[in-house]
Amino acid sequence: MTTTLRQVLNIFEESAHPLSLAEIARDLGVEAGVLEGMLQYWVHRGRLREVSGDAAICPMCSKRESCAIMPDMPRRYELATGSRNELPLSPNCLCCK
Amino acid sequence: MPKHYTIALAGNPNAGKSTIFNALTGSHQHVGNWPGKTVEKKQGLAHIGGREVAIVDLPGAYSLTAYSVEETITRDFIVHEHPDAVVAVVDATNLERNLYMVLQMIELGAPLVLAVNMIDVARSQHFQIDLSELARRLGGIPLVATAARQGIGLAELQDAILHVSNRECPAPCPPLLTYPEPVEAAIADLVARIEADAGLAGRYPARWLAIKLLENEADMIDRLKATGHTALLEAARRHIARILAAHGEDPETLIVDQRYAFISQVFRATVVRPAEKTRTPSDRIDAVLTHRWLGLPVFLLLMWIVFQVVANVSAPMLNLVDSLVAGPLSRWVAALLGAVGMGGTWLESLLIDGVLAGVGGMLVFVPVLFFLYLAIALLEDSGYMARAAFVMDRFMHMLGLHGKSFLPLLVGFGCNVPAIYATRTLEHQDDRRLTAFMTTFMSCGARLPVYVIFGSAFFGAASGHLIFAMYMLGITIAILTGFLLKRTLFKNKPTPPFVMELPPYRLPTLQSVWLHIWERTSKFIRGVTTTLAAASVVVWLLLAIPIGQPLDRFNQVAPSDSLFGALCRGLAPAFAPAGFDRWEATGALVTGLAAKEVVVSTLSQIYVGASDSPVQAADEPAPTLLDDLGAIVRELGHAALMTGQELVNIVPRTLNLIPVLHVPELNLLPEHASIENDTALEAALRGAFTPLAAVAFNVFVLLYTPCMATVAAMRQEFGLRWTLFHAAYTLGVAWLAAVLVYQGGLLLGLG
Ligand SMILES: Nc1nc2c(ncn2[C@@H]2O[C@H](COP(=O)(O)OP(=O)(O)OP(=O)(O)O)[C@@H](O)[C@H]2O)c(=O)[nH]1
Repeated sequence: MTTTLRQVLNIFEESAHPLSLAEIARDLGVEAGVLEGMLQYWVHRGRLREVSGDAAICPMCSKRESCAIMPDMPRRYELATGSRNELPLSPNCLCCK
Repeated sequence: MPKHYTIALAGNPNAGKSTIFNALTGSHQHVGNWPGKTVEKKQGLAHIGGREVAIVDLPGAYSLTAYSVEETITRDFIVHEHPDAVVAVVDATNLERNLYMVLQMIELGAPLVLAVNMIDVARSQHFQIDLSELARRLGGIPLVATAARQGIGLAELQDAILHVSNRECPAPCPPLLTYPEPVEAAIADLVARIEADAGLAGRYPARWLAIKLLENEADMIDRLKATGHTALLEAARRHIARILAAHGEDPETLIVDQRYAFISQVFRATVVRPAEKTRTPSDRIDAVLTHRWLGLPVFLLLMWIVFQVVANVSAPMLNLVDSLVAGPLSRWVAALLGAVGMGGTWLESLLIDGVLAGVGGMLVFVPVLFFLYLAIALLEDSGYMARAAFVMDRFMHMLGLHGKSFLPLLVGFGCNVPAIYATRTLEHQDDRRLTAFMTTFMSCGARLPVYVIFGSAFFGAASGHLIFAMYMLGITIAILTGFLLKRTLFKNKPTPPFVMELPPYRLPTLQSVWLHIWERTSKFIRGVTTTLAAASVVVWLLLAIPIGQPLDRFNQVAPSDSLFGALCRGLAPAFAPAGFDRWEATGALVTGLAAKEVVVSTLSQIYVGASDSPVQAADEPAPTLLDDLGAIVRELGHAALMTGQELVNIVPRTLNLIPVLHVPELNLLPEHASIENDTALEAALRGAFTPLAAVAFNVFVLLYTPCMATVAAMRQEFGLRWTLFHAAYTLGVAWLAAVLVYQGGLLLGLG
């Protein structure tokens, strides 16, 4: 049986890049609030992970979560396989505080 | 005395539990911690229907699965403390998300009252919620619509609480939710085993525990292990393995999926969402600011205003600092050195002509950057910058570029170095390289002083136009470069659209705006006082070493006869077609490779540092310290007045952009008074450049090879070959553009 949860995971398997909630909700026709819970489920199961460094633009900046210059990027997720392209934190960049 | 009831409030974070809690308990509250946890425990007393009721505000949680401390606390309280009623507080505008936890509480057999809160918000957003259908589909639980902040529905909520606590509700119905057949079979087997164990059956609802075991919930498994229920655990493990083998999916996923399917059904049957999201004030502003056609002009207009502010409003303060550095400060340093017997020595020259001319020459721009950063902070904090990226996203897409590329480009306005790193947020290496390539054309803060000084020297009050033109030229060249590379080097597949959620507009707070300005301005000052001080000393040294003259003329040569002069003269002819083949200009460009701040400071060292310094020029009696201080205060007052005037004049200047309008500008100075607002460097530049050559020089500074720090970042990210290619490309583009501007200008008769 193919569950909707499985379909969600399949979408990530077919995608070459991280996806946001809005992008998948469009594809699946599921309410955003429901999808949010589903994504969290896979995150808890260790199958998906939230893509870091996207909250704000400067991935090196230690203040990136509270950066004011960058738009609030939607949270995005990707398959939790392979190595994560983690970036070292650095002092704040010029644009963030 | 009637029984003392305990009721709990549970729900997702921000659903309004605390608000309901406060409304019910008034001031009778007690805040502590949950035993052994750092999570706050709020308890209070309320009087409901003549009874004293203890109310516990459970921490906000999204589910009853023990994923987090909050979830464990909430679950344990409901399972072990047996509250007489549990008020499930849900946010009416996000029912589908909130229902998951409600469903789990129903499965747990909790004596529920559903408070559909924020009903006021849901109504104002035109949600239509069929409350009685919702209650029916959830197994007939008591349901109350509330607007806790306004106190609406609270009386009904109290009634319902009492009703449930008094056990006046119908007995629990058959399970609300049935799972796929293999799961139900396993549940039935486990339930039988649990019910056979009196200790266990007394502690946990049997069906609920069976489901938890099939969900493979670590916390529950640990507890049963501790109590020695290994046979039950083993049975559960076998069920899980069998279901997984037979259906290719573990029971946990099947269970969770079924819950979501149920919620979707309930939601679709009970809630009609507004056809179109209602328009908030932010939406209305966005209708103009991010409009398909208006978006770009509005962006350009705002940038134009920003550079008016930067150029004109900061001018009075710039002149003030300049006259301070060139006048009193230089005099004081000279006097100090004189007092210790070092007057007229090379040390005096190093400090005054080298460090003070170089570093001081840059500190003059602190007011300019202050206003630039003020303008940027206002745009950022209000939420406009996000719109700028959004507007440009569409535009970039039209050119076949990745919309997200514009974000690093915006960062580049501050400094190119973080902009290079910012390209890491792009998914594809090709997009990253392409964007990094473009970012260095974005005019960073360090390049601004060049435009300001030339603008003010050659175009006076219209200098804002030059600055604006430079920034726009940077953006244009960046986009053209992207367009070109996308069609040659990077012919890869089209990039996916870039989803961006725009934050609502907000009023910038004084504190955060100030923090932004301070952070950036202080960074500039730090850079100027360290890197630039070193660069100034090097340039001073090169300017002091004589060429073709005896070495004992050290520090006594005209700049053109110095080592620096000789070196730069060799390169200067390359710039003849662009109209600025003087060695001084070449020298500034060469040192500018180290850091763009050095361009102006080198010009200042050559033209101002070497000219009669105020120390020697003093034929008249030198002003006393008191004279100086008095003059500084007077000038400060004057500069403040002028700053205000320029600020006001932004309005007429902007309106005057419309051809038919002519709004007069404010002029606080008496007709005949002419203000001395020309710095020594500006005067020198007017002697050395024609206006057309000055523009060409600015174009070159904007576009040529970025500073060392940016090159290093580029190399770290993309390797040496790419960096060298980029350096050569930018140098080539800069030269070509400068020559085009100059020769084109000549052809048009602007020379
Ligand atoms: N308009 C409106 N606002 C409400 C209502 N109920 C609560 N709020 C507001 O919603 C926000 C969140 O409410 P809280 O009571 O703090 O929510 P909570 O569920 O206790 O949140 P956590 O403590 O994070 O679990 C507050 O700003 C409340 O003033 C309501 O019925 N209508």
